[in-house]
Amino acid sequence: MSADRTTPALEVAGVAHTFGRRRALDDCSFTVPAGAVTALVGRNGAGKSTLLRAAAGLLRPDSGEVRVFGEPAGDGSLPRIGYVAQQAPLYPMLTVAQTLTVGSRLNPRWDAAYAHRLADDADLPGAARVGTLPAGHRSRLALVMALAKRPDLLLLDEPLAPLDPVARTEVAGTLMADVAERGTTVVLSSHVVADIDGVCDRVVVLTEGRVRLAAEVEAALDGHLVAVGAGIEFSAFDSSEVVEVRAAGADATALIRPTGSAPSGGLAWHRPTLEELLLGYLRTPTRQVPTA
Amino acid sequence: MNWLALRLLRPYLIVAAALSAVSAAFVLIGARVIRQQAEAHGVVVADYAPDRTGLCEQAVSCLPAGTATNLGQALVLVAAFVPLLIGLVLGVPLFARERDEATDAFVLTQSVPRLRWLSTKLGWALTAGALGTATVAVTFRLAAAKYALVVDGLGYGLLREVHKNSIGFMVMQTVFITALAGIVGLAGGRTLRTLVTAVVAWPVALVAAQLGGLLLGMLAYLLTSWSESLSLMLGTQTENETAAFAALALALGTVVAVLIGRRILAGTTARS
Repeated sequence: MSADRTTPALEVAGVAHTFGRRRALDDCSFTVPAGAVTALVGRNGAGKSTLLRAAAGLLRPDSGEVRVFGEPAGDGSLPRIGYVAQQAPLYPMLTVAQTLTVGSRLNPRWDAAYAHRLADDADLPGAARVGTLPAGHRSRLALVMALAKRPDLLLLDEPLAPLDPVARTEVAGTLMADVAERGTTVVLSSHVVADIDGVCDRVVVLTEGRVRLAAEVEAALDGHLVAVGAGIEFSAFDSSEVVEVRAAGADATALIRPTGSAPSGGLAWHRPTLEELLLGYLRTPTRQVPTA
Repeated sequence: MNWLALRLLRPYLIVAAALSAVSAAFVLIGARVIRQQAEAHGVVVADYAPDRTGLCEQAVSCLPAGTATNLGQALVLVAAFVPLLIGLVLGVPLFARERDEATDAFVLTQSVPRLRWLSTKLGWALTAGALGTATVAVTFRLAAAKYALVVDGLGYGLLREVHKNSIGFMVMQTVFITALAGIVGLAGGRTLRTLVTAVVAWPVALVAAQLGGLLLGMLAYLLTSWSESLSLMLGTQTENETAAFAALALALGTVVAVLIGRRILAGTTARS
């Protein structure tokens, strides 16, 4: 493994980008330590793909900086990253075998034996044209292409979306095996909480192009509470502590990031699940960024 | 990268090669038929004579009416439009299709410098375009230009300005259109929009080449004023020399297009 464990695998500092009049990213900052498996979570249009494209060097942000293992994202970092774009674009006229050959010709660190093993595991027929493969198989092939580069940082844009439940489990297993074996850093975007629960150790939540939360999963869960009680009782909290309040009649449920002691009084509270935590942030407008 | 570039270009290379071969064959056969008909009518068309001296009047076809004239007109159309067509076939899908299908996201994240993707694909397309058009242009110039010259009439005189009976000018038209269409596709994607832009830019490029050629000729004349023989030659340019300067202007345009392409790629993707 060639990754330097002290240098963050990915540093995003003050990144902003607009497409025409639409602001896709707005002052995004976070770091991903080497060896971490990080989920980039956000609703459609939140800026996940734009951020991953910037990390892969496919897009130069209007302002801010993206560094990969300390180097600016670009040609220099290409051998160290594996990137799978949304919908896994590959050349449809090439066969699976030809696509693997392209990978070996364009990547000096290409591991042909690993590529063929992964392709066999995914039941990818070597003679089949990529354009004729079902979306799930195409997605598996794109992942094979990214993994066989033997990258130090894997950037995956909704890699599990086109996969059936069995394939999802297999792909997640493959990713985790690579992480365990080589310490590969993984950043994967998703808006399906089930895809990342138990897989990722860090989470970055994006809403409307801004980073709402960037933290280790366990620390984030420990640092939040779900409180249920009469709506009036939430007025005791500082507004910056309340991430989301949902009222149902006189009662309300709130996701709270307490800065002091645990809430008391008539509120019932519990540690949030990952889904409650993420939904709390995703449902509310942009606020300040808690990081941990 | 060479293998991938050639594999991706393969269908377009086949179409361009077929267009080139069919056009060259048509030029050869057409020229032969015209010669036979002209001889049968006692019309002697000398070897290439740009001034049509003593042959026939302006705006009148010197060829026998019917098949010979029709074929002569078709040869002019081949010389005028095949360089454009070959350029469009090779240049329009070069990068536009990759942008349309988002496959650029795959190739640009492999471990090779991004400019190599641009230079390799463009290099092969320009080479193939130049060879394809050169085949047609050489055939036309050697076998049919003398007949095209005496096919006059409405429009055909103007079309002569499009091909200039010049191998270099025809080849450079293809090279320029290939580069232009490629770079337009790189900038904006969308194959249809790239096609329309390249077609609309073609007449503009021809006028610019004409003017650029005149300027370059004038510049060459001024720069060679120290030599009486050189300045005399460049001050009274023949049709071939004028066409050579216009081709040079297109070559400069191609260089500019490629440099713009490099800037586009460097501007949209991150630099290391």
